[in-house]
Amino acid sequence: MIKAVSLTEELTTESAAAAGFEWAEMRYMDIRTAEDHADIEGLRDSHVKPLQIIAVRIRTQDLQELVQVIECCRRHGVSCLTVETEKTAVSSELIRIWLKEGLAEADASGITICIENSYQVLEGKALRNEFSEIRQLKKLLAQLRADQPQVSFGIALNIGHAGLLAQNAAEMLRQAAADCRMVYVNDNDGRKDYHQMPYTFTAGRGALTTDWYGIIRALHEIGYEGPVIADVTGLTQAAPGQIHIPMLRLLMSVLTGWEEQLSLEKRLSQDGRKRILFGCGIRFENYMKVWGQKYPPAFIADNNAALWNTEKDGIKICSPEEILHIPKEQRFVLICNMYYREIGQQLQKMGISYEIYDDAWWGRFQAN
Amino acid sequence: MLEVGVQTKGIIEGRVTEPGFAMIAEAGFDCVDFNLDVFLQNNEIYMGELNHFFDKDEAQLESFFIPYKQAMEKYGLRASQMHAPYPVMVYGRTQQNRYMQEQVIPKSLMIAHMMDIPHVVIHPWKLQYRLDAETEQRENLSYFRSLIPLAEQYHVMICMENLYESVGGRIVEGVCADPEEAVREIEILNEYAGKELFGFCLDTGHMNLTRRNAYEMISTLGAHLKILHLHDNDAQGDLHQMPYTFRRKDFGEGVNWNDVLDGLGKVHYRGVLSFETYPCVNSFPENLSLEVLRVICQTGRYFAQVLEKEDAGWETL
Repeated sequence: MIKAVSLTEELTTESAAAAGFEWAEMRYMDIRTAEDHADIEGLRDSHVKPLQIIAVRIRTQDLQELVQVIECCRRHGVSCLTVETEKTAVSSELIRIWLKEGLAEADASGITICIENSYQVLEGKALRNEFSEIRQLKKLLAQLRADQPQVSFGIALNIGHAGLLAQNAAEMLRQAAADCRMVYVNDNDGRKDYHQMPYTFTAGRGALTTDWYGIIRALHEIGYEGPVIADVTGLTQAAPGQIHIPMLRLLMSVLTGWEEQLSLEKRLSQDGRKRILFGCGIRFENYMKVWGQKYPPAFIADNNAALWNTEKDGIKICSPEEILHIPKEQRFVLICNMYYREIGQQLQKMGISYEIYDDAWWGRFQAN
Repeated sequence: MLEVGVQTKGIIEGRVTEPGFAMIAEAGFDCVDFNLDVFLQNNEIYMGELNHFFDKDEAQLESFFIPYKQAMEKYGLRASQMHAPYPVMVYGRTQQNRYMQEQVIPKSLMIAHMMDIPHVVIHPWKLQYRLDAETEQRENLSYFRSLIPLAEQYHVMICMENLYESVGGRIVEGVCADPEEAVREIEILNEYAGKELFGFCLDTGHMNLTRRNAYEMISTLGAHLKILHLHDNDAQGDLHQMPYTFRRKDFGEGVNWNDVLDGLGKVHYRGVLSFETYPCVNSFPENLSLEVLRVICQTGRYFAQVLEKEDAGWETL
């Protein structure tokens, strides 16, 4: 997963880099403006460095100068181009024509052109347009691929836009599946397109109003490994520059947490490792339902001596010391207990490295 | 340097958790807002199903809270304010109200004294939609006046807070939402006391819900503003989220923090910049709690910097 942030006039590349970002998305117009003030080599040094551009975002009307846009992508080593369809008056048919014309002249090899899901605004209210539904976007992709079989096309799924239209973002990801080539993450209140930090929009006292856990689970299900771009332009506009770094650090931690979940299966499937689960309560039960069949544990470790040498779900329960009998390089210890901090300290003292299994990410699988 | 604090709710719950205080300190905070209300929660009080925590006598309560005080000391924190259990009065619940007023609130003030907490928030009574605003003011003046001997005995300042109510699910202004009325009541109470025993706790989220201009509200509160509940929302729900997360450049329903800072600068606010943001700790994944608290603390440090520059003659934002 490539973790990136959208650059804005207000967000300096230094702040983004200081927060741990290596990749950024830039608007085509911003790149062109910057290029007007510096030579192309200078742009990287003065405007983007130390970040690298992962994607360029264009408005639909920019498709009329697609040759220049593609050249711009090439100059900066960019492999993703997102066509922003938000509030556009341009029809999908016209997009198709412009792309056909532009791609007849431009060499887009190595560049994926993504169409973003979006909305229109009528009488101040966000409503669906012809780019809102995955089936509409898939139909457009099919047409574009028929027109230009040599070009790579995809869907850029904007989670905030889905939220504005009360759409099931997780289901949209499942429907898009392999066509999803770019994911934009941002949050809002379901009424206005705030482009804010994920996890801040809640109902009552902390209940999430965006299904982030379901979304990450859906990304796992479709095997998504592409860019996840934190498109939080609202946050970087609203918050003073002095607190951009801590806020972006938090954002980076959020993305890193998602990455850890998305790559959990890879770690579970490591050859030659014995999976040892610490704890045999609710989190263990969740693990067994979600992963147990594919990645069964070698044994369970638990601090409760009364359970030692008994079994749960056919898995033997042992004392924590038993872990030490497995050579370091052959063990993968996963704490399946809500007191993971305390257990983590205990394992640390024993010189045992571990990971924490959080069933919140896999919770829906608890339902039979 | 102005101090920055955060509430204990959501971080230290109902038991001594040194790791909780350690995390608050590690995030960079100087102070905590001690949520005594977690020991007798508002939903229990509204439902009339009170637990027996405050049946303990004073000695038992003191020994219960000593470890909290010690844990704070260990991590270099001080409790700058306390939130007492609320509501103190539920219309029509005579027996429960007597227990709240005669047991819970006096013991809360005693605990504040024992823990060296200088300010205690006690929610004023909500009566204006049941009865009328005049009765609400009269009853509040009568009740808060009755607390003068306890405030003197325990050396604590009692702070009233701007509240909202819900009518048919819609949020509407509540007691002390109007700063002019709040100031009038505080001045009357301090006059009764013959000294400054009452002050105001501004809740920025409640202010946003009741569509008040922050600069005007804070300017009106003036020197009566003693403590803060800093948090943000979408002007629709009492979300208690971190500042700056409900706006974009040109629009948004969130708190206007420039107005808040201008107002605090104007009244030369020198109290603690205390955040009441526990739902952030709930809404982000559990392993990010420290990171979330760091952002909140850094926001407080930024506020402090702005206010100190303003005080030194730096022009407002």
